[in-house]
Amino acid sequence: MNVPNVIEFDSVGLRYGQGSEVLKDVSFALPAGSFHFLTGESGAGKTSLLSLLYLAQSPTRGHIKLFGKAVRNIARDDLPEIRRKIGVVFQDFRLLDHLSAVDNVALPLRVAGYDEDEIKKRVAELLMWVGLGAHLNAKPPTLSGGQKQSVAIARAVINRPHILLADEPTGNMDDKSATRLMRLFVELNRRGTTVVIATHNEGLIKAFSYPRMHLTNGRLTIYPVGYSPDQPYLRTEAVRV
Amino acid sequence: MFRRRSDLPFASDTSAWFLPWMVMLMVFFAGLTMAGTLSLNSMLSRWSRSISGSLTVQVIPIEENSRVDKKKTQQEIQNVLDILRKTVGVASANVLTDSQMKELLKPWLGDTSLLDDLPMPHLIDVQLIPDADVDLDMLKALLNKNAPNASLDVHKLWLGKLIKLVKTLDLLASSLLSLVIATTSVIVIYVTCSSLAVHKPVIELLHQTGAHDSYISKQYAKRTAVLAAIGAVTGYLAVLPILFLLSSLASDIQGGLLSEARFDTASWILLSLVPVLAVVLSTLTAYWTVQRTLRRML
Repeated sequence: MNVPNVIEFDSVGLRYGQGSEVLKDVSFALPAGSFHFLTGESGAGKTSLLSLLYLAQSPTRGHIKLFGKAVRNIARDDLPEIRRKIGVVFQDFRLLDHLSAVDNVALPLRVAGYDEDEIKKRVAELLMWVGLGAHLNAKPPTLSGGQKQSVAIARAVINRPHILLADEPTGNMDDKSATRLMRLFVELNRRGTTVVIATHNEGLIKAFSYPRMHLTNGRLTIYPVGYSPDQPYLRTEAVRV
Repeated sequence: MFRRRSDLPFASDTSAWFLPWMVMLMVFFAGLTMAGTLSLNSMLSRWSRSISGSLTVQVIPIEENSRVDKKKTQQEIQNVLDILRKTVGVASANVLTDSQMKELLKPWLGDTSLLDDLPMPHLIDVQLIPDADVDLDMLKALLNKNAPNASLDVHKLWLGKLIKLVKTLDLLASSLLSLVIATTSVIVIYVTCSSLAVHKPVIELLHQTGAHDSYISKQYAKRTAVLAAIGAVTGYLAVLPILFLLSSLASDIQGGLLSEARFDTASWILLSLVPVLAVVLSTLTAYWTVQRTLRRML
């Protein structure tokens, strides 16, 4: 069966101001329902690549297609509908400190106009699942790093997005919590969500057998399952958890 | 558990704190200006209603050897009445009685017997047929010829000057109101733009989660409406006692121009629209400013 691509990059370049390109000739296509890790040294361009994916920036050159539509041709008024299909977990969480955990997680549903009963049900359920049942009304400044990350992840997935992008989602978590949250991503992926996770956590990459997109100085290489940038020609044993 | 509140942290906006104060001042000044305009127009329309369609002819008593010649004076008055009653467009012409004269002069001279001794001029109240085109030049010429001691007082002349004065004051008040409206709008734009700059990361996050510009604009409009309402109500409550005082002072002055410069119900209703308009203006300005600014964002 021919699976349509939900993300397509063709010779994409990105530079900030007059600086040098942080992304160079990036071309790839991700089919719907795929799962990829995004790796690379710090400063290699992972966050920039993700920001192009969640439409926070426009490429300096090249073409990007999301859900089959050229991003360049999407009318500004249609952007919110596209963005609602994309869940993002930011590296710095970007939680709203004046809102409770519940209200932070409810944000994507509120902007999409869901009714409050539906929001209440879904948010409470998800926060319980990520282990924040006792902190529903806690404000982010009173939560630990791991708890904030859980709220950020819950906010990204509450809308059952078609694409889930996560920038170091397990960075502040212990291995047990990280594995638990990865299982959530895997479950979402099984239900059809295309997942891209930027991470430095090699253990996590080894534990979950998914292909890897690797950035080196702004250039992208895709390694199939079992291959890594260190040993591009040797297949390592992938362990499915 | 679920408390609906603004997604934007407006509580941290220090620049917004002075918005209610500015709106309060604007409503106060707008209220005073509007009250002035309304009372002047009300005075003018009262005078215009009572005066238009009428003339006054004044007959100075004829004196012979430093004494009033009542017979000749009565003859003069009769001549005037004859001319007036034959003039096209005149509905009626009646000499004011002594008691009517005393009543007219009471505000200036008081209730005194002094009036009996003074050689007061005789006044003839002339009512004109509505919209009649009376040839005033011809009437003046006839009176000069047949009753030299009579003079014609055409109210239209001085009423015209009064209208000109009021219209100038109206223009001044309109300019002042325009200035108040423009100032309020500029303040709201400034406060809103400052807030948008402060909350740019939150706005980007809302956009990223799929918020339309209108979702964000509505939150700004709602916040501005609340702040403007606080200022508008306070400003209105501050201006009310002053207006009551001025209105009461004006009605205490008997027989003068100012006594007519009082508020009627329509004026009070119009005046109470000032705070409402201030809130509507502020709210729409905030909404429009946010929409316009967000259009420039991705």
